[in-house]
Amino acid sequence: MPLLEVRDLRLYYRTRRGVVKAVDKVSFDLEIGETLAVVGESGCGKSSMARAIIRLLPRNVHTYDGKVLMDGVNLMELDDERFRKEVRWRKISMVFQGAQNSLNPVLKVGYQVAEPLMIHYGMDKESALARAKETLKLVGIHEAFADRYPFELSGGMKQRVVIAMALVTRPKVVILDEPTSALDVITQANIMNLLKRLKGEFNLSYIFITHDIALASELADKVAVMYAGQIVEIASAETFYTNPNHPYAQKLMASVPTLRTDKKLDFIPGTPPSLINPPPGCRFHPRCPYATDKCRREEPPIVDLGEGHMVKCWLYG
Amino acid sequence: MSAYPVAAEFGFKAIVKELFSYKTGILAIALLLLLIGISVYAVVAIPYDEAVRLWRAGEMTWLKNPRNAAPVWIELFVGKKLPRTIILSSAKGEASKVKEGRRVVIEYSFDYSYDDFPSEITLFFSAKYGGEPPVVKVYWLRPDGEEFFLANYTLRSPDDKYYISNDFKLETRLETFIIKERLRGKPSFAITVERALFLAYTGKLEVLKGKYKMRLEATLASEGDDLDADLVVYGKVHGFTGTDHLRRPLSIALLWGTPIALAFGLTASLVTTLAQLVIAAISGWYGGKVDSLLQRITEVYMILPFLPILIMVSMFYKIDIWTLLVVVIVLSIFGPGVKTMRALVMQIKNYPFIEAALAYGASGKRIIFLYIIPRVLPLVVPGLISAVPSYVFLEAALSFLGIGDPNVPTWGKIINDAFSEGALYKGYFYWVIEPSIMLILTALAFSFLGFALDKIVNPRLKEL
Repeated sequence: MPLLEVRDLRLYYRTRRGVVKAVDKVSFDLEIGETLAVVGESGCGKSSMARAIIRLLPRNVHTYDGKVLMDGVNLMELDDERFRKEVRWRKISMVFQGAQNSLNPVLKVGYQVAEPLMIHYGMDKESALARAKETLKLVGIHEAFADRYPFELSGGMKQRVVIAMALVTRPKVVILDEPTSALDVITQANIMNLLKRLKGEFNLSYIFITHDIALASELADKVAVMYAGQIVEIASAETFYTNPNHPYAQKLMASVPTLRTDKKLDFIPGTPPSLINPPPGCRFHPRCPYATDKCRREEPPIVDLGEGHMVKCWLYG
Repeated sequence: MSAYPVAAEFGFKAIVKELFSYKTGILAIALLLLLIGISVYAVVAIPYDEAVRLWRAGEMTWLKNPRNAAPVWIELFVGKKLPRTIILSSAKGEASKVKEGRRVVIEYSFDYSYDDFPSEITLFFSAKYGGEPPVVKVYWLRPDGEEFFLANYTLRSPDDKYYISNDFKLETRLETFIIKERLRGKPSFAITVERALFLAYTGKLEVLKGKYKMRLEATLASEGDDLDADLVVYGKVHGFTGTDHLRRPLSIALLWGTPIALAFGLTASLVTTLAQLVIAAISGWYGGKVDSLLQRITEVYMILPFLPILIMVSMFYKIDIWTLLVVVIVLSIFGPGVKTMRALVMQIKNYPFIEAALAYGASGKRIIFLYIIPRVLPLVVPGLISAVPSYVFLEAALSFLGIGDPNVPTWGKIINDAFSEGALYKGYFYWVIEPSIMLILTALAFSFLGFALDKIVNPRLKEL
């Protein structure tokens, strides 16, 4: 049984211009110790999906349903208070986009890392701080920094602190929402190595959200490609990077520059569709070179190509 | 020690340190220390109950103080040596007293070298008798050797007083005598008793300096009886602060006004600002109906007429300074501050670190008190400090309007007294200036502190 099962997860936002279908019937499984990389263009609903899983919703939610099963419990059925107490950080934690801003500037670093422990396990300050220092050491930060304020740390260090914060309660699933987007390449590499090491050490499962397909390959066991609020392809990393099946995924791969081969970079014509009023049928059809009349009329089914390789496309249906 | 030294260049100590790098900061701290020093001195030297008692005691306690006497430093401006109060007590041996049988002779003698006339002269008797009261003959001996017979006074009670200045018969007698026999013409000024006794016969209003004497010749009814008397020649200046219309030294109210003003201003400002901050944080954080409700309450509160409500409350309830404080706080909790602070909260609310806290399960309460308020606080503190004087002024203004605590001596009470006694009209300007200076000092101290703090915690202001 997979650790986390997401089925038909929907998250719609209400706006003045209409309902934004940010996450539309997304389903996937996550095994223990597995990393699922979620890739896609900006605004395709990656972060919204992460928020839907950890239930960090804005005020203007229109629809929020589906199933998120973990340890046999449907997390969607828990009320907010129970969700806050039992799920957040105990089972699922999250590393936010832009760690620079994810730390409270008026609290000392150590205290902030210790805070989830005090909130969730009712630990007293001393033992929580001791545990926080341990975790900081784990992510490669000297414990003396526990007494510093966030502004005294560099960007990479802050990112490490935020990761320590996500790990201090030893959750099973960590959602990484663009964890390295604001860092330089060297630091990025350091953080990726750290994440890899931690994953091995604690048998963590990651949901790694990024727009950087190359970066995703560093960590991913499985890759999910999102387009216009839907997952259009899920495949193991090997399959995906060598032989993507969905036309969108193919185009996406073709647009990634490579270091040694001299290839002409491909691009996808058109613009991502509006999530308020998505195209009928397959959402990719206006930009798809293989689009048929069927694609324009009917929504494609999710086709199972075996070994967990799923593609949402009429080409395979 | 760890390999990494823990930096401590921030926090309270650092702010205080930085305060000293600004002139306004130094000035503010100096003024504040002065005010705190005065407060501590007042509280230690005159306990609260004692202060209230002294202030409310009425004229009896302060009988031997001159009425409406200016402070001593007024001489700097007048350029004359103004008379101090001279008190000579026969009981304390400050006058020669001879008792022979039923006859008592008391002789006071003092040097009078001031440039102005005394304000009043009074004899305070303290006699001991069974049957008939003593009869006292009062004589006045001037430095030029002239002797006036003042009165033949029969005591009406053992602690009777002879108000020499108020003896109109004596006044007429002396006036006629001086005009006819000494000046030989009517002078340009009126001759009162004090003037008659101390006048140099030059035709101008001048004091004859030198050694004066007063002799009392008392006849007792029996040998067992006794008589003592205090001669008080009231001056025109008194102490460092002067006295008011009830002869009270203003220093009591000026001294005690300081801790009261500081306590009132600080408490009101602190409680109001913090309460507003909490309300703003709750309103901004929870949003929705809570926000609407709190904002509507604020708007209603903001149009409530402050003074009429206070006047109404003071009509129905016995108001002392602390209930006044409570009423002021209650009336200002939902002030315009709620609006501005809410705007700040709304801004901070959307910062990623708040979202992160929310994600790792921090409760709303925790986020408000640990995440939002500490962020808004530095922006609010200078305002808090600068608001202190406005509450001090408010208290003074309320006292002035008669909505203050009638018992407690405050600066506002002094101004109120001064106003109702027509101080400025009568030229007792010290009476208004002294409490005003204290108010201004308080305002300056806190304003300067506010300015300096504003520069420190909102560094962008430095560039302006």
